[in-house]
Amino acid sequence: MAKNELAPKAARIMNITRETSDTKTFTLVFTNPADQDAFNYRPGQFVEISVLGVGEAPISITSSPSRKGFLELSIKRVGQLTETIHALSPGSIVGIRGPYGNGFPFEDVNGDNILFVAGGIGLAPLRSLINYVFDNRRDYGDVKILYGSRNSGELVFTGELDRWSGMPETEVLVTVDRGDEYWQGNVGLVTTLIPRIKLTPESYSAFVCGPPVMIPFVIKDLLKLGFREDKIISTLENYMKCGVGKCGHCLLGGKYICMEGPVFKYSQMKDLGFG
Amino acid sequence: MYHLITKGLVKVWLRKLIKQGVLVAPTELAGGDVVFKEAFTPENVLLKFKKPLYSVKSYFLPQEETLFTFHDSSVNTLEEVYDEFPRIFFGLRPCDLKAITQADRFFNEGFQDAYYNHRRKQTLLMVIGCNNPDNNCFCHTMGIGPFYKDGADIFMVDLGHSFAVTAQTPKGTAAVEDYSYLFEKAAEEDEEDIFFEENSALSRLNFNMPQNIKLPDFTKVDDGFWEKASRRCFSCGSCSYVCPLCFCYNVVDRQNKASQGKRVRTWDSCVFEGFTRMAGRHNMFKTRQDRLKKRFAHKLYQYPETYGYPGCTGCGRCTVTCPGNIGMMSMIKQLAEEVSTDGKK
Amino acid sequence: MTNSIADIADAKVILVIGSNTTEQHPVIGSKIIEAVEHGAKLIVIDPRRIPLANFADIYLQPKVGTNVAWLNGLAHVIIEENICDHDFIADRTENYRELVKMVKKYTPQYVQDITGIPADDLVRAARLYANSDRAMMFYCMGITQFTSGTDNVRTCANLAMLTGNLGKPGTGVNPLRGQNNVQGACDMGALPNVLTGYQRLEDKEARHRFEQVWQVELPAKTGLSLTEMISNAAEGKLKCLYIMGENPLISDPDLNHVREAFEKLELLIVQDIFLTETASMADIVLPGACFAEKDGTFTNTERRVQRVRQAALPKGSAREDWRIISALACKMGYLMGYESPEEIMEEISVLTPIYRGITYHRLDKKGIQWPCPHEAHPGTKYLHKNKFSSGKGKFHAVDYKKPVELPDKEYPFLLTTGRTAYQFHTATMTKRVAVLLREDPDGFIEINAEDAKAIGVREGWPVEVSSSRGRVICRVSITDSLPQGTVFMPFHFAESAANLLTNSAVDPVAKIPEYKVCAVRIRGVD
Repeated sequence: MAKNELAPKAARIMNITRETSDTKTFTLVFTNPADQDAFNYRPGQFVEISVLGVGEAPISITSSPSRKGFLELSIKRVGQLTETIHALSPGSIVGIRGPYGNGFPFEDVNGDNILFVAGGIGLAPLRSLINYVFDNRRDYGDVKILYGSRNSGELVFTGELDRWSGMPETEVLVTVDRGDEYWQGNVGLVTTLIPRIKLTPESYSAFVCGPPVMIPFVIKDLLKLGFREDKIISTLENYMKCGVGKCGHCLLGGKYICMEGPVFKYSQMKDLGFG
Repeated sequence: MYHLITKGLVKVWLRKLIKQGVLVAPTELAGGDVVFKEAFTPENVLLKFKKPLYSVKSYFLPQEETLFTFHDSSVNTLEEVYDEFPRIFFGLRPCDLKAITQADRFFNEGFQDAYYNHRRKQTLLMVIGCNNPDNNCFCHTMGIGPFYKDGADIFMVDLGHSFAVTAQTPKGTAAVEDYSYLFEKAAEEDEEDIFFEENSALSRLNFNMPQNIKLPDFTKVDDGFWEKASRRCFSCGSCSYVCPLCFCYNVVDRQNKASQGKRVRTWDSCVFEGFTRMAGRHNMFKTRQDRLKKRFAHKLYQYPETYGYPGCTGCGRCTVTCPGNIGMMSMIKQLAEEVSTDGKK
Repeated sequence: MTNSIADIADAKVILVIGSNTTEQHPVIGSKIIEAVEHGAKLIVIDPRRIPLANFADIYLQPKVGTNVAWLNGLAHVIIEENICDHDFIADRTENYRELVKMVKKYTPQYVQDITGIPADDLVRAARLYANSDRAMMFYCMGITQFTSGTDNVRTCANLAMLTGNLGKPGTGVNPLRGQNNVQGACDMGALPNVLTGYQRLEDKEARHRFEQVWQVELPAKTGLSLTEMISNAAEGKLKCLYIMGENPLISDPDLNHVREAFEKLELLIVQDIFLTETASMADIVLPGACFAEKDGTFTNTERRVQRVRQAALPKGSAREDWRIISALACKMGYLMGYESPEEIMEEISVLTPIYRGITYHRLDKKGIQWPCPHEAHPGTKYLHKNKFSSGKGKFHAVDYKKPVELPDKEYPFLLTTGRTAYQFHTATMTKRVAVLLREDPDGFIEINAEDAKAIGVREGWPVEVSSSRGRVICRVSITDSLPQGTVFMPFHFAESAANLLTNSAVDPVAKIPEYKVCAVRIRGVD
């Protein structure tokens, strides 16, 4: 039994869903029921997943805390560790520690209309919050979801996007940067979707997640529309290692992003020298 | 209150203390370098010594430290590894002391680091005031000073013939009182000597750098300043390695052919490009200029905001080690100059 | 080095040629920067705009492989403007007339046409170097790794002799040694034509001294150089190769050819501290001890013999090199009965005039620079003080010759190879250090932004680089340190080994391959 938090706890892979050619979603349950019961998290938090002997990486939680008893992680294959995880099959054990990070401030936006803007695998952390909002539907106003990816093959959670679009007071728009013969929908960067939605910026909070190149452009457009700086909430993609504010890799503007972030309001991000 | 122990008896005292733990003390190596090193007898311990090449950081955050072991990649076989050796540190300087008490805060505020705390729990800190700061010392401008003693179990002052000794914690008091037969009470003139030594050390430090040197508003420092400074940065990381207040680390897993593995943490440095590089080579600190600016901003501007004092003890070790001669002291002077020249404009 | 590292502080002018000093010799790079800050003038001449160029008073960017042309050009200006050291030339040198004749045609304009160095810049550099009585010259692989390597070195020496910048403090011709003990290995006769201390193999007397001590008859015939061994193996003439601490399957040029050659060997023995690419191919692997596991000496770039002390016992079945060699000799019927490295060192002093005064006892606190002819001699800070060891210093009149392989229609880029700061040689050791590997994890090719645009690739994209000998895939790194048409690759990485591409053509004298020039084609891949 682990004594200290830097030692991961065992979790079993219960299910694996292939999202795209290089992204899979893993459903995990701690092997020790007490660990599972003790694992409480907020949308927007992340865990450190380990394959002992290969390494450890931070991965945001994509499941919603409103659905208990398991944990979902969407993992893109980008290096040795994620490649190893992709090669695992249901029943395999991995190490998990966490949750870490601050998570999305969903209490602060209670009663607001919500705009979600996601790019690529950036939908994974937002999915946690989106499902949380739908599971607590009465606490929030209208929901608009804008999602873009490089091409149709890289869209994740396509089934869920369909389901969300059928929810009341909800609008879902999807686009791809480059169209192809299989794609009937919108073509263009995710920012091209912003002018196509009708909204009153004063009543909205926006959550933006995606690749580092995308975020500044989306924020710029939202500010132009009239969004308040403290109503635009995003994540700072920075290299994280220990998750507990010690190893220093994620230090930015004097703040350990893994502790005080990764979620920030745009008004805070500016102080950290972003954008 | 000070007690006196003649220099001849110090080693007798250490011989007694050594029974309670591993003695780590300044020792001269074959080539003439002085380092903090385990001393199994007090014979080779230096009572008068120049600044050891490295601080005692590695005894608290080792260059490589095993966090836990495992075999066959199995989480169920995981076993944590703690270093629980009691250690007696003799001959620490105030700058070394401040680094330890700051590490205490760093490793306990927010997340509590069990590895650090296991090591730290069993230490006795014996600090000797710094009578002869060298050319690279500037602890006085970093809020420390040559006779700083907060947090020391035992603080000592070299009075030539003997040491004036004062115990500041229960542990320290025990280490003195258990051997009280080795000590005598200090006289009034000894207190005067202490005062004199401290002042002459301070004037020496003031010669290196004025105590009230003012740092500019960091956000006003021109990018050109960092660009120029970064040309001399080789990105070798040695400044971080020797810095007693650099605690950044990397974590790696190792596994041998017999499937016995361990997870270790090793020293790391923010001057390395790979330190912040993410998959897809995205990096918020891609250039040496970015990284150098971040390093100094953290130590000189953000650290005081968080902790109330700079992330530097003024030990000067980075000045000695940097191949591009980017020392903390000269950077502080140059930064201070930036303000005054800007003011003139 | 003819002079010492400490001399850098005394130099008024420092000339750095073909050496990325701050990255490859950081200690020396650091001293150079310090000297510049104290007022020394710096001239950097390198086809890549290396970081040290930021500190230079004059930076010249010649085309790769044109060293002799601009070195002759410098000599031309120095002679033409009569800023040479006539006393030194008259007293200490010979063959001056030949040099004058040769460099006549190397006018600044002529040199500009060949090298791309603006004529005015060349003249400024010549004046700065020649007008100083304490000008120190450094060079590295950017001089030697050419089919014209020997010519390059000779023309460097010409320059120092022309200006009298030799044989006194703060001057000299100073090649930088790339490894901690490559100087020592050469000193110990790890070359095909000499015994220890550069005593020539054909020198009967020298040979006789060794024969007396060793009680064997020594062959008088010069052996094979490394590159010749490979070609002999390929032809089936060399049957057995015993390699120690070298990884030619990454470090030799034209790797496909090297592999073929090794496959023809009847017996390949590799002695190393890790199972390198070469060791993986060996019939027998002898595990060696690393630096921390052995006693002995290393001789550094300034000829300083320094003690290394055993800090840990060799692990597992690993043994110190001297033990392995002794044991092997015994097995082969020769009783090589040394008891310690110190005993071997004693034999070295007895048999090697330049090491005669060097003993373990004297090395205890501080290293000694050879030549050190007797026990009371303090060692030699700089060579050629009042006379050259060979008598007069000979000017070599050499003409510029093009590299063997230059870009053409099919292979339009000139590839030059080198190293990065974080990986060492074939990365045998450094790729095992997580932080170092993280800094330089994989192979890349540096390309000028315009060239990248023309090829249609961006930063980080994969490209296929091919020469007539092989092809590799690596990542693009856009740089402004190279001119259009020239590209650079580090050779450390087995997965994208630059030496699959390089040319094995060698310098006729030193037999060093032309690692610095070959022609390649580059195309984007998915």
